Amino acid sequence: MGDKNRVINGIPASPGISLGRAYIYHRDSKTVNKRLIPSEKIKDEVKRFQRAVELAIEDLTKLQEKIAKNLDQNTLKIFSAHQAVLEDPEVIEVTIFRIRQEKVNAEYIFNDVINGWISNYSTLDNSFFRERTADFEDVLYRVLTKLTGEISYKNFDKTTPVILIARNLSPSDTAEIGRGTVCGLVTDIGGQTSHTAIVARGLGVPAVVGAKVATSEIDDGMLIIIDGNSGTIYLEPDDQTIQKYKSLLAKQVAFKTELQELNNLPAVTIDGRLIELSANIELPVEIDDVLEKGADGIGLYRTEFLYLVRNDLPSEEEQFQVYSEIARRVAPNNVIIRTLDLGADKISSQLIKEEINPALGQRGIRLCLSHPEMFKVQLRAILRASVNGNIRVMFPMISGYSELEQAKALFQETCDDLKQAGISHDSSVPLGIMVEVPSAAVTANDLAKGVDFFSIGTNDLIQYTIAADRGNSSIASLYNPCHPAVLRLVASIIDSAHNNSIWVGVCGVMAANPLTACILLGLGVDELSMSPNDIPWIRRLIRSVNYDELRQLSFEAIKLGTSEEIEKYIEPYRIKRQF
Amino acid sequence: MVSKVVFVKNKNGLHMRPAEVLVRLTSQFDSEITLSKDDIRINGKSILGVMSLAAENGSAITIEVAGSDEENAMKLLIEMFSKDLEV
Repeated sequence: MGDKNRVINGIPASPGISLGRAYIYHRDSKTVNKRLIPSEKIKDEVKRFQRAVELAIEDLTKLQEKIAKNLDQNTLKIFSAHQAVLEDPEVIEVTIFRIRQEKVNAEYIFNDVINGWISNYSTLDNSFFRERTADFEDVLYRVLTKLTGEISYKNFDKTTPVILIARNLSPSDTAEIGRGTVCGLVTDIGGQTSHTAIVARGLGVPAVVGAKVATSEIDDGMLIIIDGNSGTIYLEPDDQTIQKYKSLLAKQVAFKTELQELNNLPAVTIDGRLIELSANIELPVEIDDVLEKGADGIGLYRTEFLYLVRNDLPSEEEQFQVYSEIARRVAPNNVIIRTLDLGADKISSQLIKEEINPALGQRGIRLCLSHPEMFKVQLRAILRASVNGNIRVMFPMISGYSELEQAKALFQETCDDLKQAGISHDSSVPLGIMVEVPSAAVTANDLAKGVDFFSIGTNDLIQYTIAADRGNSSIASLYNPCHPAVLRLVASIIDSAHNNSIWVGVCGVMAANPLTACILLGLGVDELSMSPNDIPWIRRLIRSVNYDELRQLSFEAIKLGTSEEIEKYIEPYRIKRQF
Repeated sequence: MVSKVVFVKNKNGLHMRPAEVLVRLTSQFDSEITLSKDDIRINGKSILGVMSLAAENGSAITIEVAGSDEENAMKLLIEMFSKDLEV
């Protein structure tokens, strides 16, 4: 102690830098004493234990309601699992059995039972399961508190943000802490999948976990710096280190503020080309984020979620409600609803038999065309919802013109049915396709005559063009968005669209990667769609480039023979424009 | 008693959430349900037991069900394992 500028290294768990005073967080735990219980009191002791468990479950239920508003679904699921631990026969029944058998007080036995599980788990090879011990400790303390009333959480009431140092943080600790009062988290144990890491990333707070000696080396109130990118913690840093990190911190803050300030500005290049910047979403809850980031609409709403995690198919009414809500909230902007895009790799149900090669099997529009009744339920729901906002419909996995015609025929049939039944709908809903199969890319000029828009699905287009599965690590290096074949295909799709006076967008990883986004802009895309989180910095990128320059650059770049040459060719521009 | 080998299809294995989904199903039956992986055998109604199998994606799990509602329990368990357990 006393030396300035000491360093502790841990595991980076949540990115960013924090400089502040340390706050050592621990539970005021007392040793659990063993007491013998006289035979005639055993019944009461068991009851006391059961009551404590009931109260703990009640607490968990209340806690779930309390945090439901500001924490994500994952945290809620953790508490729901804690409840399952309190209903676990190997915990509850075993404890009761042992209280009766050994005639010993409930807290001692319960503590022993849980610790037995903890030591059992700490020997597991798989770190994910090993890191669950924090969850069990959480449950243990919760029940012990009810039994003894002596163990309580240290009162956390801070007005100025601190960097929290703890041996380990349990889910309830983090829920109690909440937002705004903590600017960094450090724990002695844990890894990248531990609860602390997940929560820190959710709160957007830098964190270092697995720092082993943090609680013993760091004192309450000590000035520290944590670097959540590298996993380094500086204790009592010297002026030089402080200055270095202060300037990094200032940059970090300035960048965040700069991005925030851009949220309401248009995505327009220096020379005035306006790009539509939209969001990819899967769930209606993501719309808050979409609106906050100032997206120009939803470029890809994946409807698969409605069909997964259930045994039956979603009803027309259910889909109608969801689509209407999204359309209403995003209006007057557009929502592109992609019709069901599932394959045997994503769903194994009555719909699809197992396939040897699902990527080339019955998926996307193929599945829908082979189940026209199911497909029409979705189309009816979309058409009915279309009166509530600006909906566009997009068919996935189209591989050629006849497939498009079949899909359009079903769409027209659905329109006619609704018309006949006198149900209100918008029959002029724009129709488009995902261009993601090489055969569609090559025949784009024909397909463009039959639709109102294209959206290039780059993830699949890359995979099918190069014939490389990006999930397969042994060939992952082949999966390269800058492959000249991919870029030339994209260029010709964009040309085909524009020659036929329809607009063309890109949804997929290429839209949110700085190099490929530049090339796409240069090749002339009208719209880029990406995860809401990527919107702010892509907006900044668009606002800092010159379309005319990018145009020349991109058309030269795609003539080059390898992805490495293409990357090298664009890189100086990226540096020059600083994005 | 009925018995059957199934495979974990979940990306992250039988971690906390899938284990919870599983025990919420097994707890509904009167039959005794045992799961085993390699040489570890656990009570299929215990979430701590299920997670202690540390079953990763692709692991083979043997299910044994014994009791009055064993047929029905086995049927629903097989169905559950045939899907992604992420609910």
